[in-house]
Amino acid sequence: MWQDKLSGNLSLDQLRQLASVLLGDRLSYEENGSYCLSQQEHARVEMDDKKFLADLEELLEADAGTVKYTTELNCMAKWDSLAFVSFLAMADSKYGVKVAPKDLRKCKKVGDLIGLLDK
Amino acid sequence: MASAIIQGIRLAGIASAVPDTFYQVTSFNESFGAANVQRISKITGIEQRALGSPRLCCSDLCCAAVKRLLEDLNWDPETIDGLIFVSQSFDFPCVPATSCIMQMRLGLPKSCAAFDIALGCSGYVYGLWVAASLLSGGGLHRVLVLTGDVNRAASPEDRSTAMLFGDAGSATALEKAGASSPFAFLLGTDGTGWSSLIIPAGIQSSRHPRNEETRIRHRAEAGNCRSMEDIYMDGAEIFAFTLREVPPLVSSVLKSTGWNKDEVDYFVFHQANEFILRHLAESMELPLPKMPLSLKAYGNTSSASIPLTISSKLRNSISTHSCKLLMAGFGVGYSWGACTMTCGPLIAPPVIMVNESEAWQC
Repeated sequence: MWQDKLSGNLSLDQLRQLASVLLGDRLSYEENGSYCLSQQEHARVEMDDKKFLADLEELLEADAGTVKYTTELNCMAKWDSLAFVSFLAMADSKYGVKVAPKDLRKCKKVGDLIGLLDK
Repeated sequence: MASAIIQGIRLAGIASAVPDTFYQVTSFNESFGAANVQRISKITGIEQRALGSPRLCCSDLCCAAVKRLLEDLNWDPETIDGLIFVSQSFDFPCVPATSCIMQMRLGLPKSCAAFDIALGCSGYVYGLWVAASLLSGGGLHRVLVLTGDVNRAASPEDRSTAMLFGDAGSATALEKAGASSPFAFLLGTDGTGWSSLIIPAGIQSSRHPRNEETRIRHRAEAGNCRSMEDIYMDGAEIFAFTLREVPPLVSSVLKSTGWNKDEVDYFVFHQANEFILRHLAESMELPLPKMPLSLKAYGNTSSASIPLTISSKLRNSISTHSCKLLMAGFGVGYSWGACTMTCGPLIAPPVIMVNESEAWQC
């Protein structure tokens, strides 16, 4: 409903302006009329993900570059109850997120863990 | 809300006692593997624990602490009119109350009120709160708060609990005093966590009484093995609960006291494990030197962990100076409590070692 209201009352340019105010440099406007992650934002997300994988490698005492998004948690020898608690601590201290253990138990792959930190 | 500011009370002394037999966590090297034991020990901060023979009850440790404390305080047992035993390790399956037997063993007068409170990690703060309340409005003049537990329910085949708990008992003496600084208390409960730290069945249980099946150890998660009569702990849930409840508890009790956290001399927390305590200190920005730890030598000693930490780590300063303390207990239940007080110089003998020959011969 709000979309109808917006498009009824705002021009496309005004919408673009609104988007840039709300999202800053996070999105860029493409020629074909769609929005996607701006280059800066893309670099930022990539850096965050790299940092996350490095944090996880440190937590699991794994070699750099060995933990990937697609890695199955159950396949990692060090992903045990101690790593589980260490992850809760890391989420709190480094990412400011209080992860519920029941949500963490549902995660199957490393990539699923990142979803928990976005909340 | 369970919060109180109580005036006119003095904490006169604290004594703690442990069995004289210590066990290193490395004794588990063979069953769990040395690397695992080392990794767990690094996280928990526990290197050894005092564990008594099955004959030595928590009440025996508490009685030894009381005897030494009354002697050092020069208090006549006849002057004690309240005894509160906070524990989950009773002499008998609840009947009769262990506190009644201790009244006799300690030679306290018949005019003394005595009762048990069944709490664990939060128990010391609850005991102090009940004692302070009874001194300020319940007609009592001198009260002993006895706290502690003996570890009998951890399966030796369960890595999450086998190397964690130690035996200890404590005695704290409080009395009415005219002009004294107030004690502030804040307490809470969240029973939804009842199953995160539990002995699911046993002789004392009405919900799940002992039977042939309850004693048999079964394989559980991660190769751990335990029976329904062994203690179960969900470390992740306990950790999440601690992170959720303790920081607001500490800031609220500071606020109600009117203290800035920098004014506090020592934050004496229940010794759950070193990883939790370090994480709490970091997230609340509390300086580690102000947070004494007694885990390395004694392990997690349940409701005795706060007084035992004072007896073993703060004895020198608290027996010579006045200190601003913030104590917080949290865990099994879930149950929690925090209190602030200015106390000392007070009587604080060194940790008392108790031989199994001192067990009560009934």
